[in-house]
Amino acid sequence: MLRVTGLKKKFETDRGASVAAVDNVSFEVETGKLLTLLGPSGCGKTTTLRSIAGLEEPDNGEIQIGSSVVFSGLRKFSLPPNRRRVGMVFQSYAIWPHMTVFQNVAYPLEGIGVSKIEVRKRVEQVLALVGLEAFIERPAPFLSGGQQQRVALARALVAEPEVLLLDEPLSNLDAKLREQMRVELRTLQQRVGLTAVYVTHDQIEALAISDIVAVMSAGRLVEFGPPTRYMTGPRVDSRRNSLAQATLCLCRRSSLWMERLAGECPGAKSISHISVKPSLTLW
Amino acid sequence: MSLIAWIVARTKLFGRKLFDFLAFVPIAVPGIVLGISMIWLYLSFPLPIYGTLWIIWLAYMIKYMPVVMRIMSAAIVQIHPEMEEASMLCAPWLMTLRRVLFPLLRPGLVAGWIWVMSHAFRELNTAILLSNQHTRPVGVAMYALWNDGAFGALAAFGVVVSLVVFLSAVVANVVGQRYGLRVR
Repeated sequence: MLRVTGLKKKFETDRGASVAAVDNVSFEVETGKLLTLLGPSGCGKTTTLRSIAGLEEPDNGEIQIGSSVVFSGLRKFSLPPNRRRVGMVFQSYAIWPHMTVFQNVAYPLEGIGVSKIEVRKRVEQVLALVGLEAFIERPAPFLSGGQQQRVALARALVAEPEVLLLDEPLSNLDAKLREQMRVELRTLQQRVGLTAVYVTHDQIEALAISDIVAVMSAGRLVEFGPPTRYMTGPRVDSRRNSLAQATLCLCRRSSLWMERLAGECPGAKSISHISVKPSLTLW
Repeated sequence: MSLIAWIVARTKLFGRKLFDFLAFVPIAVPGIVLGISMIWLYLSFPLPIYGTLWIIWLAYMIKYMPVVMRIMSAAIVQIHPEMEEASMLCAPWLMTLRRVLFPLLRPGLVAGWIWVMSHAFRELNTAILLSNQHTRPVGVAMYALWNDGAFGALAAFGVVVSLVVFLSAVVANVVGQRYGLRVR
């Protein structure tokens, strides 16, 4: 479980003016659910994610992970990132080039009192989970983009975090691999029962992967709900409809998940009948 | 030095710009002036390094600090901040420095070290004021040979010194190119 309450973060610009990057954002993610923070670049979604991880210090608000409060602006309390039990996949993957796949993935287990045999076992397990068990001894520079992504995911999962944070993890992959990884990521998240926060600016991705989509704009949370909330029956507005059609064409190819959503959507008999609500086509 | 460069580049510590500025100031100080100030300072300052190798070592530290700072900050800027952040999520900061930052900085460290070595090797201005017959760097020793009129020994010594400095410069270049970091 993850709960964010009244999160606020201001940044100073070079001229001394201050801009609210995150302005009073609150949400809750139930255990085993995936929440997507969706919005254009600069809307504060990454700052929110980094605040949860502890890489950014918010000005105010409260963040609770599982049963423990990790940040409280009121009590001036902030737990360091390495004690928050979060795993994170970065946009650049941040795989350490001077280590092998094994060393990268085993790193989070060092210094927390796990025996060498146990480390080996857990690294092998998590690599099998992401389909990289054959690459365990490979040096990191000899990995493709998709493989680096899987290593990053394995490294984020190996210490069994309470919350998994994903910062635009698919944006550096080519279109085909992106679809494949999106499905894999969703399957994995549901199988392991992970609580996850996923940041993206891609509407399709958000609709296809989430339990809850939170739309952010200019630092505020403007809409919040399950993917079906953002879908309606066929629209007459042709410009918007063409975007929706393109969106859903992609979705149909990529995931069965969307078919199920179509069934739940009022006024739509199949996936080709859905269009997306205006709040999702802001950018 | 790389720690200061890292603080300046990555943290929001109050006064880090001042750090950066102070580390850069020695570039404006001539070698002779630095030598004289070191003598005056450590004649009265209660740290007994006057007349030892340590005072020369300290003077070199000051003299080459600006360049090493530049080399190190260039090396740090090349490392994506997410490399360190990925480590901070699962390890204390000391482990991040030791296991992630320093290994990634190694090419820059090596390049900086070799640059300083090849320059300090033939340094004369500062060392000549701070050395005595027991603590005599190469530059000062060569100057002494010249004064004594031992031109044969001086020539041979000069060839050896040139070779050593030249070789270390070659090594610096190879290291720099291998890791995509160029040293001028």
